[in-house]
Amino acid sequence: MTEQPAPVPALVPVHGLGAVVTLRLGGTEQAELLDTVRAAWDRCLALPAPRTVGAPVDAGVLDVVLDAPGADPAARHAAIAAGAVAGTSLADVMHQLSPAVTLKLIESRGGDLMMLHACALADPRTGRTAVLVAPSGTGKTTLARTLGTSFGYLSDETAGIDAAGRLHAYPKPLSVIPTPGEPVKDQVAPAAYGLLPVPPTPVLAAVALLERSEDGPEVPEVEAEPTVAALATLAGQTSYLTRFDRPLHVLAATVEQGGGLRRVRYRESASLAPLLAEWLA
Amino acid sequence: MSGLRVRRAPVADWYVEGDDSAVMVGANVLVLSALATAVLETLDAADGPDGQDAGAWTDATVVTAALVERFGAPDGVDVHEVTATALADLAAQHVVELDPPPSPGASEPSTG
Repeated sequence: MTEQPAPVPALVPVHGLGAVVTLRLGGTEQAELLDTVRAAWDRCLALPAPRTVGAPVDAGVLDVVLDAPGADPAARHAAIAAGAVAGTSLADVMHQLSPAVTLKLIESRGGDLMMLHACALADPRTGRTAVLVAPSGTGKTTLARTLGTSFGYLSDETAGIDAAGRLHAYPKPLSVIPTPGEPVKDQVAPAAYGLLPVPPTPVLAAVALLERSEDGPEVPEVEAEPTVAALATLAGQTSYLTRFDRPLHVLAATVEQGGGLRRVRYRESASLAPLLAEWLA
Repeated sequence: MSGLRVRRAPVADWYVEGDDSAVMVGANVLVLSALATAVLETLDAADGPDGQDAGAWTDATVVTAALVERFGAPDGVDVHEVTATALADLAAQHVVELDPPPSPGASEPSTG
């Protein structure tokens, strides 16, 4: 009996933030993994806007392994030790994949793009984009789901802004908790929620810091924050800020390009729609 | 405050807008008051236009004189003490360095 040859890994380029990470998919359940990755990450399989800036930055290779539960774990454990995302549950592998891809992409653009933890939504006609900064777990994905049917969806995770004020989209799958308390998030393709595509030339028009609470105002309250204070507010919501030569000056320039930081207190995501329409007009 | 000297500490960046400023120390960003900003501007000027004297010490009395010139002398307080407190706060945040260095626990940060 001859030994079965190992399957050839499937390579899937995933674009975001003007960079590309190559997923090298393997494992006994490679075919299922490939189909699921392609479906969930469909908007990142080709370089999203802006396409006029040049070739994407190479963010390297990320190994992703999905094995059947009964498969020999040795190769999988070796892959994990080498930095791969690997497991025997498709949902768990997809859950791990999203932050792993994000990390690769933002690492490759540190000191190049100003990257803010934000949901980014754009006017679908003009590309004018609102960067809605919010810490993890405070509503970015909900906001994208709610408003992304009216505004172009650029990201629910990281907004990448270059020195010219152009947004480099990262329209990743939305990470959605299927039921409250569930530790593994589903990775849902933006199209499944009817989110609008990235417009051709997204450009920064507004930067807001979102503060959502159950007892927040029904009508959002907006307060302008001076740039000096905004720097302290936003620094903790950036990635690789210290890689810039003059990090505060770069962040201040981004804030100014967005017309200054707006601090927004609100209760329901839908209530922000009129504000976005006003800012992006 | 006799004999106290001060100089800017190496920081990642310092952004000034009007009377206020923000300074980045390591990965932390601090918003500085107008008084603290004026202290750094005085030390910046002492470093020379091209920073050729960067790292040189400045007498705290020079800083006090600059602050009095800018803000006036407040009634009923010792301006040297005000300066010393401000410098100690900035030193505790690693924005400036003092000679002699403050004793441990001599000042809790309050300038921010």
